Amino acid sequence: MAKLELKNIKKSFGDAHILKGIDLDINDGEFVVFVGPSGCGKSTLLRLIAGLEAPTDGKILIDDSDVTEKEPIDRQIAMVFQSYALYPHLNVYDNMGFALKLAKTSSEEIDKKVKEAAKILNIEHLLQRKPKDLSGGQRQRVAIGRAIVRNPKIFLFDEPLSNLDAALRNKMRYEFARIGEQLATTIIYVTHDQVEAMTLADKIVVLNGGLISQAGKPMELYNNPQNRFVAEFIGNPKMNFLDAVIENKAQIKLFEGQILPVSSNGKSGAKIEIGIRPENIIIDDKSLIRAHVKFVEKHGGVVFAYVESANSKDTINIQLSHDTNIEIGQEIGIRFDAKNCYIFDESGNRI
Amino acid sequence: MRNNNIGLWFVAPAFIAIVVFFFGPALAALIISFTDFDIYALADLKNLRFVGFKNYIELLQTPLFWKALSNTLFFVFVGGPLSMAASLGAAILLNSQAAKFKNLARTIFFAPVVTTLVATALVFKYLLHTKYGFLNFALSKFGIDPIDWLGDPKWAMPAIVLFVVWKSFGYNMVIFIAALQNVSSDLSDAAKIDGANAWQRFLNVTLPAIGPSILLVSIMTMTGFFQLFAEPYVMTQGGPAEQTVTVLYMMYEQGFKWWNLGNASAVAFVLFLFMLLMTIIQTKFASKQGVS
Repeated sequence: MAKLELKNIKKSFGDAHILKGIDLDINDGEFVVFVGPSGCGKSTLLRLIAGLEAPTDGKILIDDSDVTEKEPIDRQIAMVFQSYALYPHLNVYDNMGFALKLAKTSSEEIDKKVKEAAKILNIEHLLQRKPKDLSGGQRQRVAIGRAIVRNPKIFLFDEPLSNLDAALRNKMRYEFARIGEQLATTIIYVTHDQVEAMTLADKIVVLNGGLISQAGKPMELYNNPQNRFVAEFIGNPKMNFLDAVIENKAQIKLFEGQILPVSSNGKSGAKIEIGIRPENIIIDDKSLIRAHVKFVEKHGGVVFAYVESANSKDTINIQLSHDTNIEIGQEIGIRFDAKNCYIFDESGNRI
Repeated sequence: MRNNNIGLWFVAPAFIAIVVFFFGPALAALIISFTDFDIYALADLKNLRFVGFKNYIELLQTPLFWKALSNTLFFVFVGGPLSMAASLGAAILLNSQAAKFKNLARTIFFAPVVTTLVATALVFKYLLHTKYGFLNFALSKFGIDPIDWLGDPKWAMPAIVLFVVWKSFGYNMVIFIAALQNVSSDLSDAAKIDGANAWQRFLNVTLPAIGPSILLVSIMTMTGFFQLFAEPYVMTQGGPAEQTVTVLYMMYEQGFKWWNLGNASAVAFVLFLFMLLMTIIQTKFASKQGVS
């Protein structure tokens, strides 16, 4: 277990500025998920923490000691790669014991640790197999096992579930939560999948364009996004956005002219966007906001209707209960409570 | 069945070409090796007699054959590993991120492969010249007395090894570069995290990953080096003191100098058996190392 501090981390490859100043504190034993679209710098940040790349500027501290210039082995971290990166010529046992062997650990000690880790991961029966004879999920476990045996201060996971199919991904997500609890150590987990972030994290760090967009507890980010990017990225299905203009301090005007009693502290006449989550939109035929149903998705327990309105650039997604009767082509009225609206100014900041 | 027949038609042209131009001559040579095919048989086939294993027995009793075999084995076991080490070394250097002017260096290293052997051999003859050669000139700067590279029995074969390594390493270098570029950087990163230093990463990640290429290159190099002929033919004519007579050189002399085609064919088949044996040993060794 260890705490990690990142101080003004910057990383450039030539003219490409990948990270533009990251400040972050990760507490002892925290499960932190870095999430963001591809190219946001989350994997680069992980590689910097691992010591596989050196930052252009800034400092990395593990348990208050500066490790910025240190080799990976001296940082006492372990990393699980997206591709698993198992040594193909070694069997599972030797893959898991490789680091210990390099560290000149006695073979009894290696045996004990490898078997212990194999037990946690339910892979005791696979120890003599080569990686090529394992399924994706099994390889994943071996990769985690290789990290566990080293008893590291910090675990790093780089998109560990991306190479698995959907069913296995759900199962392994649950496994990760279990392993995370069992290991009770600091874990940093990188993913582009906000569902993984929401379900696994103690703390989510949303990265966008080389900067931290927002960091906080999953539900904090969901309920109180500080900007449009986080609002859109966190939550599945995505938040809907409607164009609007601030009428006065207590009201906004939608594109079609409807006035909503939403208070804001922006200037009158300023263009804004309001965000509403799909579950907060209600069908109300008396409502003045009119929309046409373009598509209906029946998921069984829940129904999603995609509707078009003059107020939004994209279709609006509405979450409905499974017994709702709704047909494609139908004209409906929609409304939402002012308390469920998020308001963003033109540059995407919450106001 | 119908589909299989159609398939055969597609394979037939290549198959026929292989049989006519490869298996045919090889089989003919095998038959000739059991005859006393010579210049008289060329004039009139009635002079051709089957002599059984006589050619082979005589060959094994010829001192020059053993001399040629030991010269060839020296060339294979010293030159082969040297050539592969040079190829792999150059490939690793050119594959490293720090390398500058990669394309230029690759071109320079590959150039000898595509140059004419006879021309470059002649150039090397001058480079290795006792009085005017650049090599001796360079050595003299370090206070080393001139060496008669191609005239001294001790140095003639090493000089040819030097030339062949220079001429051939670029080809295998390209194969190794291709193999190295396919080594997953994740594996190397994983090994770094596991605490492996550069040498341990080379042993545990790079080497196993390029194992199949090493096997391929070692078999190709070995079979190629067993067939050393043109270089001594151009540079030393087998001399001095038969130090650069190779098995293939001996076959050439038997066949096309003395027109003992029966003898020459026997030499060719003994050489073939050696190469087959070596290939089997290499493949077995590689499969023990886990290379498939």
